[in-house]
Amino acid sequence: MKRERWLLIPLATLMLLTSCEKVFLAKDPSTDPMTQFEHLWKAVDEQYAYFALKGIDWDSVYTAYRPRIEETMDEQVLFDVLAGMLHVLRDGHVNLTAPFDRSRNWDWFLDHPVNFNHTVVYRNYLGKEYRITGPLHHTVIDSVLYVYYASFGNTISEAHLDILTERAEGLKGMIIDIRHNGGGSSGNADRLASMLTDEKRLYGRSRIKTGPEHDAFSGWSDMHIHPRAGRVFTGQVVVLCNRHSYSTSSRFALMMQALPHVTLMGDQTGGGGGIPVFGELPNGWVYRLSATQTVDPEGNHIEEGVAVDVQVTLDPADEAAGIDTIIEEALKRLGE
Amino acid sequence: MNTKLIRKLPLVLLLWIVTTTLYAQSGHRLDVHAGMAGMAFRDRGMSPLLYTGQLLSGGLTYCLMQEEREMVFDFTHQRGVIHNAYSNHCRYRSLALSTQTIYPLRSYGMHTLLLGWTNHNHFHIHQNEQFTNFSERSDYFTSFGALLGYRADKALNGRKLRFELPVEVALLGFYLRPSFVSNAPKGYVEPGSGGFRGFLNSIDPFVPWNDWFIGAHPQTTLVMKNGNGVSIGYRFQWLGLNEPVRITMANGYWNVSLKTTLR
Repeated sequence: MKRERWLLIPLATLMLLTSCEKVFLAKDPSTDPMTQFEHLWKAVDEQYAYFALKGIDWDSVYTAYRPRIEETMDEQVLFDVLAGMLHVLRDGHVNLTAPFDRSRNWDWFLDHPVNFNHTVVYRNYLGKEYRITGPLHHTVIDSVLYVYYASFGNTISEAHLDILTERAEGLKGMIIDIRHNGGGSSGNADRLASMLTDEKRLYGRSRIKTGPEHDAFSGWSDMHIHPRAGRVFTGQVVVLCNRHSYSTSSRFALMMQALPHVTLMGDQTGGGGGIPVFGELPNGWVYRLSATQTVDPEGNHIEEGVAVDVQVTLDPADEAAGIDTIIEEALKRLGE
Repeated sequence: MNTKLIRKLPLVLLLWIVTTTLYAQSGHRLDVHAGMAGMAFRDRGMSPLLYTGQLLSGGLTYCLMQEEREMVFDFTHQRGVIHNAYSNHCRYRSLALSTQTIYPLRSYGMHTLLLGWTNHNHFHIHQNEQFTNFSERSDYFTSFGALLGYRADKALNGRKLRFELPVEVALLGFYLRPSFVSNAPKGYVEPGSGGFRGFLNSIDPFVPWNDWFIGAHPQTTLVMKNGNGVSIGYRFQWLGLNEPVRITMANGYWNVSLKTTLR
């Protein structure tokens, strides 16, 4: 038996090491309110991209909000205080998500006219016979192809673009309606824009945070529209926007500004020029905040929105009569 | 995979161990290993929270056994889902290529002291499923280090029972980490950067005491009369990289290895 004692060595070693992975790493940080506040304030301080553009003194926000944190406050009260702190950033790309609520600042569209009526568009313009090509809803009105795209989160394929370009051939023009399109994947914007150009064009520049200092950014990177390999449409195009055209919709509007045959019409977009980065608080709540900047070729930020070429407001009397003033103006322009 | 094949698999593997000898040069061995790894992981660039879970793991090891030294080349792949305490999860995957050069230093009867050096090349990628943008983060490191080990052999009716415990620590190396926000390393974030210059601008030195990579791989092998064997082992590795934000990882890989002597 004595001779077999050496067998205890591997057994003891295995038992010592087995399932001890967690032991070698520090425990999760505290979930007390002050830790959550400090973590969130610091994350924003280091990663948020628009302090200078918006003239926000984040240190003064710390001074204002820290006294509101109490060790005994419940989760909902803590959430409300943190949400209030984030609201100061005036940014639709900034949110705090807890299991029971999601903070947001939606002033970028709530403080402005709607300029869109879903019922009017679907009942009186798309009507009963419109085609549904993936996420693109389209019909022909007065020899103009009208396309409604509700979300850049819904994937556009090359096959969809083949169908649109084929249908638009020989028509007077095309209307692409991105009103109330809250954004999504920039890849879909790139793809849709690739249908509307026959040459590579510079449409903007972007840069990303590279360090915790407020002015720590990469250099500006050029952003281009590239023509697709398949058929493109280079006839007259009107793109309809409103204040609820946000994020990727603003980026798409920026792309359209670079194309001479495209007119932006309606109201300026809602903005959202920063791509949000995500993070977690020690209590598991998830936040996101803008960590990049986007400008047009002249260096103008699109965080507050992309201006339209032709400002048109949805007339309440027209709306009541089932008429979309903005679509009518676009049809008139393409019919000239 | 059909059920019949799954049922027959243990028998096939057993026969393979007992009967297989591939004809090649003497002193070569090929191991196939598979198992599960317990994982604990924290990337402060993504979250202050610890992510843990089980990873499906497997790989191949080639051993060149010479009188004065052994050279071990190993490829291991791991993948799985890791969770934090709030059930948020990441998809995790790693690829590792490593070599060990082992010199049996001195024997005391059945006990042998081992000395050597190691090289590790590891790539990890994890994707946080609840992050819409910048959801992927990846790490790469190459390290060179020292190995100290113990081996004990016990004869068993013409067969051999072998226990090994190599312990290693990385002493030199470099690593690439995501930049401040993007998954692209810092040398690839600037416009116009890239290629080899981007690589040089991206790497951080692996500095002992600041960055850590240590491992312990206890393994018990039953070596058959024909030189083939089967082993059960546990590979424990601990990693700590500090730049630009700290990442720590502990990984314990329980594995069964089928060893085939190449003749």
